[in-house]
Amino acid sequence: MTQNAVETHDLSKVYGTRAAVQGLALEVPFGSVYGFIGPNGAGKTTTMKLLLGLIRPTGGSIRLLDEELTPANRLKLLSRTGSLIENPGFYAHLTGAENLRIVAELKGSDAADIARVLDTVRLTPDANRKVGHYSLGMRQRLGIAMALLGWPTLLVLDEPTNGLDPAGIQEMRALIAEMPRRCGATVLISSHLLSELEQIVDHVGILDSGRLLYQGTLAGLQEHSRGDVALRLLHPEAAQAPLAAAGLAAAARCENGEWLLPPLKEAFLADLVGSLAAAGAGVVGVNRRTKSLEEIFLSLTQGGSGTGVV
Amino acid sequence: MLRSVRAELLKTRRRFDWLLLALLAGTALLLGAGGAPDSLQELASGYSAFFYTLPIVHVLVMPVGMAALTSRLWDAETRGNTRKLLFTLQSRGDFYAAKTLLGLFYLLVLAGMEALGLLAMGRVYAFTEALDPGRLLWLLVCSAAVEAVLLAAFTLLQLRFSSPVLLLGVGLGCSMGGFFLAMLADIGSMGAAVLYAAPFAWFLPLSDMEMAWDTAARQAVYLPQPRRYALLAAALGVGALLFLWGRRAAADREV
Repeated sequence: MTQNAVETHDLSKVYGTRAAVQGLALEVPFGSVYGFIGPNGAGKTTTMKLLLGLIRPTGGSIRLLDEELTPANRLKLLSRTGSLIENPGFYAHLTGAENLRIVAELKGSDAADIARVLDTVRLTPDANRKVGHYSLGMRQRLGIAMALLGWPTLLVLDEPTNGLDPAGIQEMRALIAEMPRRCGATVLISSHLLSELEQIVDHVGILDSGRLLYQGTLAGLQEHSRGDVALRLLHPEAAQAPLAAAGLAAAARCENGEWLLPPLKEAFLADLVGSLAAAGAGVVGVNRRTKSLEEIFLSLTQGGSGTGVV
Repeated sequence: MLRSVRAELLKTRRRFDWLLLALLAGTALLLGAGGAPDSLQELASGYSAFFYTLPIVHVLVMPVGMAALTSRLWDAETRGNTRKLLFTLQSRGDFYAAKTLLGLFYLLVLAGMEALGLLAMGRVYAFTEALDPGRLLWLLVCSAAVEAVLLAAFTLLQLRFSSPVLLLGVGLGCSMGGFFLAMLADIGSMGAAVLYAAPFAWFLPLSDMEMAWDTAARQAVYLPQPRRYALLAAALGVGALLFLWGRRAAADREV
């Protein structure tokens, strides 16, 4: 048994001459909330469709829940999976509960399970209203409820906060964050709303132009992309000599009364602070700036222009 | 497969598909009757007149009717993202087969509605002609077979283009084209031959009732015709082929 709920090896999908996904080696650990991040068109949805067998890969292989995904065992594996791909589609003439009944029928779930998922997504009071009258947020929650039917081991959620207002996004975020605890499910969630994922994921995969640029823990990514050091000094003019002695005269810059230094090792920083204090610079604050996921993402994808990135 | 069928039945709730079937059966019967019979001779050939006129009316009504029925059956799945979820829960083959079964069931309901409507009209107008059950069965079976061909063909179109407007446009075109061919067939033998090349108009060559005009008596005379079993078999064959083609199309289509 591997430690990963999802593994892909050299996975690729080509449409005509355009490679939507290339050589993807995804590893989603069991029990994790894995954020799949990338700008629009990076290949996130294509990858998720490949994982669910909705489209056929051009090359490579997929392991889901410790089994090789093949046409023969696809439905068996997917019976342990819940998914929400793009905006969920519903039967607008039916109520929320009736829509769930259809999915429950196909998954072999019972009425108690329908009540459970309605409760989980807080739709019980609206269960008997027609979906045509639901708000966008309620539809998204119903989509999540459908994915949760049958106690899935793996949840694949493609941009579940798309189109939601801030309150809806917050509600959805809380809902997804508690999935591993409430259902014991591994969650693979994609988004281009980086700030959203930063608060709920523990593992990250950054995708751009169909290629995986980074994969690992969120903490590892932040450590890997350690930020600048900001020094607040009472007498900045006294800092010139110690900085020059440390070889930082060229790299240091002063912004808004703070000296900004490039990323430094802990011991080196401690020595520098000592020298600054001795030189009478009056060190009143040392702050290591941690890059937000968004900054890391932009630096990795070289996407200063950041099309489609919020 | 059974789960897929049950899921299809759940989807029919509050969709009121039966209203469309009732509308089709009612329209066919009313157009076929063409007004209340007003002579003893018309009452004495009441059912035969229906056996002659209903296939003509079917040519006009059913292509557009089957386009509408296909749209009702498939619209939710071919236009939205519903299939992305459904195809993770059921096989595409089962999904397609369950929808086809529901469509065929609707054709049986439609045939039943027409049969009941015909019997009711016979009662209301007090036809003096005895109903020939064999002839009624032939009419219903042949109609259902051609309707099945239409349903399968329109399903293919819907799977390919996902456009109910296109579907209705093609249905309307088939209705008009079929009616034009029916006129042509009435004029000469070449027209009759053309009818065989247009499966959407096979209601006519499958009819086992002809009409001749008795100029002396100034009345219509209905003449039983030999039944074209080979054409019925061809209709069933074309329907089966279209079903298999559609099943393949549904299975191959990436969503």
